[in-house]
Amino acid sequence: MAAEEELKLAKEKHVGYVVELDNKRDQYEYWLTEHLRLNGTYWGLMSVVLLKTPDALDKEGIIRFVMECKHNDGGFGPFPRHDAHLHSTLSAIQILKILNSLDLLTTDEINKTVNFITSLQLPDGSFHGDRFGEVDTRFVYTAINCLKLLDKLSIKVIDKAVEFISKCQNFDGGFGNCPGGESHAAMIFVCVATLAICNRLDIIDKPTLVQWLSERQVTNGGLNGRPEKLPDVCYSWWVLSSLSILNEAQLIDFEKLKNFIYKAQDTINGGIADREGNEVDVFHTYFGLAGLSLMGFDNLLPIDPIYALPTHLTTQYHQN
Amino acid sequence: MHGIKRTHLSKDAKLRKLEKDKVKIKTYRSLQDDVLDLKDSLVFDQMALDKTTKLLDLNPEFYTIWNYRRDILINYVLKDKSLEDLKKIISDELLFTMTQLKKFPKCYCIWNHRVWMLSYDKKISNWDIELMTVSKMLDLDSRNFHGWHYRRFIISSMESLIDKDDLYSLVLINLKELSYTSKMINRNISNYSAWHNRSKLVVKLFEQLLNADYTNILQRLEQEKIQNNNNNNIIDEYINNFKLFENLKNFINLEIDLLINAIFTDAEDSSVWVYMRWVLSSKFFYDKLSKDEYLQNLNKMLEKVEELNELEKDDNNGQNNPWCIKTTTLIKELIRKNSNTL
Ligand SMILES: [Zn+2]
Repeated sequence: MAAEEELKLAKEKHVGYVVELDNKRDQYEYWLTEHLRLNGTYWGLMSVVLLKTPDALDKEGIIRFVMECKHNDGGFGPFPRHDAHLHSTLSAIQILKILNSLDLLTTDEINKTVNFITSLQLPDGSFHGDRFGEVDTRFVYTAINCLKLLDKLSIKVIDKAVEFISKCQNFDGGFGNCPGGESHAAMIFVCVATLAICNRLDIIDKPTLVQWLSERQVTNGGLNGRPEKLPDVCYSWWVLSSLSILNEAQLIDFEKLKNFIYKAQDTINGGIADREGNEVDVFHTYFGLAGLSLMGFDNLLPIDPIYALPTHLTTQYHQN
Repeated sequence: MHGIKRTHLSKDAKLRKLEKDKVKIKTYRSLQDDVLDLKDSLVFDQMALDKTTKLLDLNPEFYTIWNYRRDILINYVLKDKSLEDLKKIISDELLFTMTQLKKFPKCYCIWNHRVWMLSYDKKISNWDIELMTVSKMLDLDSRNFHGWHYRRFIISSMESLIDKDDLYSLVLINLKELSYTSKMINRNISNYSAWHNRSKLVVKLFEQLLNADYTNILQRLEQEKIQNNNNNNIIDEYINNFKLFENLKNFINLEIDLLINAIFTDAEDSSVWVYMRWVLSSKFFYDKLSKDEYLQNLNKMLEKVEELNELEKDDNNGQNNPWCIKTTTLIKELIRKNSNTL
């Protein structure tokens, strides 16, 4: 293993890894992961954008694919012929936003997408992920973020959503996936980011939550998602973005976390894994890079902790 | 992907894998196309159901196929069936998801389907069996997020079937859960999921009992004990726990003793320290105490934590235990705040 001081970010390798993702049709895993393809496209696109090589991917091809995933009811599936889902709908809108192509959707199409999203909100303010889907705070975030990006977020939707999120708060200051659910860094991110979009961070028990989040860093520098669990690169995003939104990111030791992420890289074929020695994937590649970007390392493009988009695309949301 | 070891295959191994993949891809894609065609043509019959079973066996994450399977169940399998038939269908469906969960215990789609199936008609589902099933799963992985979530779903489903005026049955369910949660904590003190569940149950039981007729509930618990000769021990436990809620001061005192015991058992474990922060600083608890009682508790805990840190220093070449230091600071701050506002 390389000595600590030799660790660095294998930028070119990671770009290469992302570009190669779509050339793996001869592998069984490629077909088994179709249900995440649009989400994966967003993770891959964001990776090359953060690495400042947005042209590494075929922009026209991506837009064509996004449009192929659109259903008549305005929702997007993760792959053509797959059912529409809130998660893939957010990915679609984020991708179009990154590629400056939201205007490809007509007013009528946007209204349909908005209807698709709001029709999934339940009377208690929570959201179904799809027509049969679970209720989960993750879907409140996907819905609210999406409506905000489409400039169609109404007070009525906000008030209900905030009411639901407040019921998911726990004794440790964190949030779970539904009322009663255990605190988990990913659920905390979706709740905190939703509240930030809705301008309602006031309902958080900030000192308690910040302390809990700051205790997620373990001895090897990595962050875990729950107490007494193993650290994982994706929590570099979930924990750090939450702390950034609350203006407390400095409670994490950046140098140690950076090295933890570096060690999870595959320096031969590119990509980042959940932790050192494990198989890489595009999800952890993106969240590793997003974490490094939040910490300001490696001259990456800065990322917005609330919207999970490059900051130059979200400045309009931060005025006032 | 989580927790999968990275392997760099040799050229030969890579070729062999690709050769095998070729066959697998062919089977998978043709089955997938087949099922999606049936779905598009709105075919709801046994043959279609069987094909979704096959496809979901290969790929349990394919939520679109789970959706289609539910369409088939609603529009065909479950339609116009007798009660007996319904029970059989539901139990078959649960068996199918259980086989899958054994292979993929963290797959959202499978848990979701199980919840959907059981919610189809909550009155005919067998919730006691579900509770036993999930207990077994939590025995295998006591931190499984899905498992605990599922457990709370079962409890809330059982609660929803109880008559609103039947406070006794409601309380009994939650007393049982409190005992289960304590059992899990005693088995492994660093089970944060169990501590979390405890925090929810304590508040819930307290609220349920706010305007309750204690004597009546206690009498019924005693009757239960007589009827249930074999299980005296566990019912005694419910009775003891129940009595604590009559006076929350007693409960807090015992909670503090439990926490002191826990930190002296494992001073490194974060679960206990986080729970302690809550018991010491939450309004839910200190509202039920007089200022003097609250300060007494804080001072008692401060003394114990400082004592523990001395022991830790003896064991670790003079190094402080960071949790002790943090908690000491917190308690001192709470004491200061509460002494000022006399
Ligand atoms: Zn991860």
